[in-house]
Amino acid sequence: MVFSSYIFLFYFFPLVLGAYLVVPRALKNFVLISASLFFYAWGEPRFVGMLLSLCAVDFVLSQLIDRAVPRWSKVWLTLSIVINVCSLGYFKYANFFVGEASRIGSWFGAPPIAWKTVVLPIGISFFTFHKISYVVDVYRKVRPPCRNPITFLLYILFFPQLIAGPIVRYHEIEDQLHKRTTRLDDIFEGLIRFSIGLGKKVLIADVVGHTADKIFALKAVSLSPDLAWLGILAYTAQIYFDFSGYSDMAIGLARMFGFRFPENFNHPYLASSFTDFWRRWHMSFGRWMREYLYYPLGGNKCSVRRQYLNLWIVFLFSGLWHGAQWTFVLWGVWHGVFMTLERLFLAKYLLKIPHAAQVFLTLFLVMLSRVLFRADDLSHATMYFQHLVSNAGVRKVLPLYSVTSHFEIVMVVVAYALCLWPLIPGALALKDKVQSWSPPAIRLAATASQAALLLLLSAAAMAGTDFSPFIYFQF
Amino acid sequence: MEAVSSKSYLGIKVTFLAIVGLFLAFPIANDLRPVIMERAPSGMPMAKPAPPFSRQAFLGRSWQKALEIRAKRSSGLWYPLTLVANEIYSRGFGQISAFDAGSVRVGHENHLFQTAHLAALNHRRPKNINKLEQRVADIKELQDRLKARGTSLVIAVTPNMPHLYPELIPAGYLDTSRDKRPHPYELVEKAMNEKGIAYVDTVDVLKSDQSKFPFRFFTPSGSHWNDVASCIGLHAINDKLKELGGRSFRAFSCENYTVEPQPRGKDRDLLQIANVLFPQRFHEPTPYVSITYLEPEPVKQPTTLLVGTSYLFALSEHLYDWNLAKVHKLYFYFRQWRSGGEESFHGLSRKTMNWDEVFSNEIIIVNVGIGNPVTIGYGFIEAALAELRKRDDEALAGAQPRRKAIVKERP
Repeated sequence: MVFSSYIFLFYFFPLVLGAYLVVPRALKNFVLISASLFFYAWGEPRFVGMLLSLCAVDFVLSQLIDRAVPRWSKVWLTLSIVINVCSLGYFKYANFFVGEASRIGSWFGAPPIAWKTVVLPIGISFFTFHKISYVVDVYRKVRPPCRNPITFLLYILFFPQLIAGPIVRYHEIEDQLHKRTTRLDDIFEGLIRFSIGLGKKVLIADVVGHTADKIFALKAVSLSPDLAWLGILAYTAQIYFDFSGYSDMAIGLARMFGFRFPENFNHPYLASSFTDFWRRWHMSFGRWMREYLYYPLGGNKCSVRRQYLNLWIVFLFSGLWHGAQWTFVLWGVWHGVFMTLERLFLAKYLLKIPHAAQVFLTLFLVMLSRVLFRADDLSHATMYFQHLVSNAGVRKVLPLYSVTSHFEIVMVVVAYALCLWPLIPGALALKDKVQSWSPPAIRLAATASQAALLLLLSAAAMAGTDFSPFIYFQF
Repeated sequence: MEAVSSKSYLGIKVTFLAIVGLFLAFPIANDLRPVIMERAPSGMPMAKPAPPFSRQAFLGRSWQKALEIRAKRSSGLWYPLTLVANEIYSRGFGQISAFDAGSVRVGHENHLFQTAHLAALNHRRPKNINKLEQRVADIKELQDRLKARGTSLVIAVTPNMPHLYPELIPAGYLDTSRDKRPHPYELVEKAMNEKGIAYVDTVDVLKSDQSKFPFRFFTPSGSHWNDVASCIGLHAINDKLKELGGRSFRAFSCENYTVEPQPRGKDRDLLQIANVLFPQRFHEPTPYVSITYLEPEPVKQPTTLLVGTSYLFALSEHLYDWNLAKVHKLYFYFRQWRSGGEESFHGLSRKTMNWDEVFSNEIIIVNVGIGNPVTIGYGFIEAALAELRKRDDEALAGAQPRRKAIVKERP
């Protein structure tokens, strides 16, 4: 079930929120777990059993990690990580590795490997990371393990974050899992945040995504450079508004049920370098990588060479986490290269140019990396890169509106205006001035009106179209 | 948001929550006690009943998918919100629907048009162009065979709005390289001229007549030629029939017309499926012909058959309303049929159709849209020709029965 669907917005959400608010405190977690299981089963009915089994294994192992002597504690931790990584590896990477093995085998005349394609359970990357962070934190004694299986299940299965994050660590919401209150303010602010997220998703991401999809589906004969640039502009906007919209909705929904989730985005397209970008983009994922991969590898507390190696491992892993394809590996390499260059010398030079130029340069390079992120395979990415700079081979020029529309182009412009407006000199100061001049009641009423309007417009947009896939579900 | 989190301003917060809460809870409430009846936007199917639950359907997700569609379409919000959305898209961005993916587009001066006509406008090569030569040869043969039986077969090339008024189509829809390729109709026209086929290019006629009228031949809200244009088209067809020397319609003139402030049903068909909230802004005063007969009524009107697309609806109405053809039928895409004056269509079975009735017509008009000119007749030409060949062969064989008998006896 996606948040931007009628069944969620007008049936599931009001019913679950209503039930949650009226049941006694003791039953609130039960309501949320039931709703979350229903939510997951709606989209992946065949994997509910697997999800519950994996949760049960980690729950038991976390108790063992906590109670065992250190040596055995490490064994249970390793076992938990192996189970989680293997389940993720099987569902996410088995097709890729078998395909590659089959391809390599074909070079030596081996017959193709008979293999039934493995279906990827929705959200497996996210709930696996949740579980790994949980068992590692238990092992590190950050917090004692959760003793109540219902509470543990709620931590993993809570529907706002189950399938696309943000990746919340157990200790960040432990208190809220046990005891929380939902005040009028929480519902008010949660609903406003949800409406903003829904607007980002439905009114921007889905719209510009339509252009991106059409352009990335073009064959070489029709992909002129202007369309190719429009395609990556649209896709770069889509991926941000789609994912940050989803995060806003998740944070807003959680807030309505009394949870405070960490932020996942902080104006990433205003980043002035790749290092800065990764502090602003998918922050919960970046934090996970830092805490559970980069630091355990040695982080910065080792030789310079080792630091770079660690960085490369992290970005290689990041790439593969997004998908089992060489394009994602290259995407990770791309970011790894620029992070390394920044540490070596680029950061010093970047600081010498105006801030806006730093931002545009970073955005430009991030945008180019999106080609790798979006392309079907390496040959598609190569073709796309070629067509960004060359018209060669373009024989069938398509009318602009056969791949996009006026509204879609306007929304691409709106998307970048929303991302980049703070770069306009004086814009931030003007915003502050307007805020300080206007009475709080007016500001509040304006915010509420905007949110209500966004909700209405989003519902209207959803009424007229069935095109609403979430990009991040595939991860 | 710092003000939002304060505990004051309860009135604003409660008002917001009440409004949004009512909105979000409306579909459930409407399911329990209907306030807004289920209604589908024009051109969209109604919500199907909730599918029965089964384990298999649930595991395969077909149950969920069906229920999601059902939830959206039966929510009571589907129809009004679609109208709201399309109103915003059409007003603000000159398009119908978010992705401009539907069959209706907004051109300049609020002129709606169909996407189906863009391929020909951009001179795209039709898929079935390789069949053109054979099809034109078939038309010629059919025309000759029918003429021998006293039936005039006329091919009428009918216009569409983008072809007649390309200036109303926004530049974004136009392929800048289209002039390097021939328009598909040019290929058809050339082939028909080479074979000596009797046809009427109503597009040419309308282009040359445009200066005589203070309005366009298409209303902004309709997909078909307006009453005056279809009258001019019928007039040109009649001229061609006279030229062929067979039966023709009673002579008439299209010069008298009245302008009504709003278009009637058939001149609003695109607007209807555009599903906008305020359709009035697409309305334009629309001319309707007051027929003037130039000849007295003949003793017997010609029997007529029309075969082709919805552009023939207007011709059919003229034939019936103006009493130009006593009996006439329309074969819509050669899949459905109706008699003159009827509203609804009947299914047409190609296997069991009454060919005697078809060939008894004195006039057969087959139209071909300029937007897809290769699909002339939609199978009628080939089917009629096959039937005629069979009959002519049988007649030929029937004329030599003795010889056949001798052949039979030989073994």
